[in-house]
Amino acid sequence: MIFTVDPSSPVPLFEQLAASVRSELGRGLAAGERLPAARDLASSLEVNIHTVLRAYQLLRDEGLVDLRRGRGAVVTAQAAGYSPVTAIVTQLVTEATRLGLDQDSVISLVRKEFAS
Amino acid sequence: MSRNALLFRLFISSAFVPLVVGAIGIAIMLSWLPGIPGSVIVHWGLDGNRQGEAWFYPLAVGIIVVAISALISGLLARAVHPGAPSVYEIVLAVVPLWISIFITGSAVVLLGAQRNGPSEIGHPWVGALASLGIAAAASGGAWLLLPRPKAVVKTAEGPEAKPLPIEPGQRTVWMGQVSIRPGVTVLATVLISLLLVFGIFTIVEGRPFGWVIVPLSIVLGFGLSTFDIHMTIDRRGLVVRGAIGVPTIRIPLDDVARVGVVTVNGLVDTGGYGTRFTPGRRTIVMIRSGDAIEVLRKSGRTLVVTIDDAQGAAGVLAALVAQPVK
Repeated sequence: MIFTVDPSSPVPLFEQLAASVRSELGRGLAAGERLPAARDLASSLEVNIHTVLRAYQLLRDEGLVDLRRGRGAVVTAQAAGYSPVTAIVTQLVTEATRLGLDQDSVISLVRKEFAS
Repeated sequence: MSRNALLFRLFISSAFVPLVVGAIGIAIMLSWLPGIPGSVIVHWGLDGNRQGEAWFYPLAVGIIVVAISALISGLLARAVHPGAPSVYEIVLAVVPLWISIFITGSAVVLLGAQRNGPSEIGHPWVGALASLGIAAAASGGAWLLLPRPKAVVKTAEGPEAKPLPIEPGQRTVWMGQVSIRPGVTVLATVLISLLLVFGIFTIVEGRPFGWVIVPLSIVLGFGLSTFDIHMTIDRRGLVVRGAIGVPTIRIPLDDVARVGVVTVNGLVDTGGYGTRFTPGRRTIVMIRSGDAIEVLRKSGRTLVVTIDDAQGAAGVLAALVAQPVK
């Protein structure tokens, strides 16, 4: 699993980390797979452990991981199911932001694609 | 040499000759059976009862020879690539030949000595030793007849990994693990735990062999823990760590000369599984066959670790190594 954060980015670290996990889900993490222990990941990324825990909580709220005491963060069946699309959407939004497209124009592009 | 030609020659040693030797031995023993009265001494049995039926000898030979030939030939058929075989493939192909001659020879000698009723052969180890000698000679012969193995790899051999793009200021970490199949782990854990409990009971009952079983089960459990490997790649370098800390291998980024990905097969490339030190100053952490990250150190040593997503791991490590030092 690859995790990336950029401390110089205006996006909060925990959101960057959550996005990183989402794109890993897109690369095909299986249900039941365990994310690294928060302590290990925090020390590797040189961030506070609470940053990692907050990212994991965010992912739990999105239904992508289960947080269990003693077992850490485990990828849910639901996450493994729809992950490829999530990752593509993440990519789409990143790319659109880079090109300066706003939300409405992206959505209308998606609508057009569905209609065709 | 083409794959089929190589397999054919390996099969002569791993299946054809062992099966012929076993068949001849079984035929000899079967021809004796009608003349052997009642039970004979068999030299195995857990309950200390060394008496058994004479047909047990040919049956045991048949089962062992067929099983070992089929197992090894099957493994070779799955693993062999065209070209010169690895030294481990040759060793593997010779094993059934060796076992077949040894087992068949021992059985014929032990049963032959009892053709006039059960008797302990004067020195059973004489026959066993003779078989051992014959088997060793036959294996040596097979070794000479089989194709020359290719030279042992001395340095890194896999294609160099492409560094993953990392923006300046980004912190990128790769974390992953590899272990044997969960079912196998659970089964092994249960069996080892049962062995431990059994050992403790035997000690409590005052039987001395519990003092062998308990340490044995602890050693087995420890061995199992080395098959659960975690790998971390970050700005500090690469760390490979077993479930309870053995093995632990650390390579700082500035000690990495080259990162590659290789596909390895446990039996063909290293002759087995686990953490191994092979010729050519290679340390191989071989948990399962498949893709592995290969790290050449500046000292000339190479570390190979079979890991899920080896490509990703190698890409991140290569990128971190290429990053300017802060």
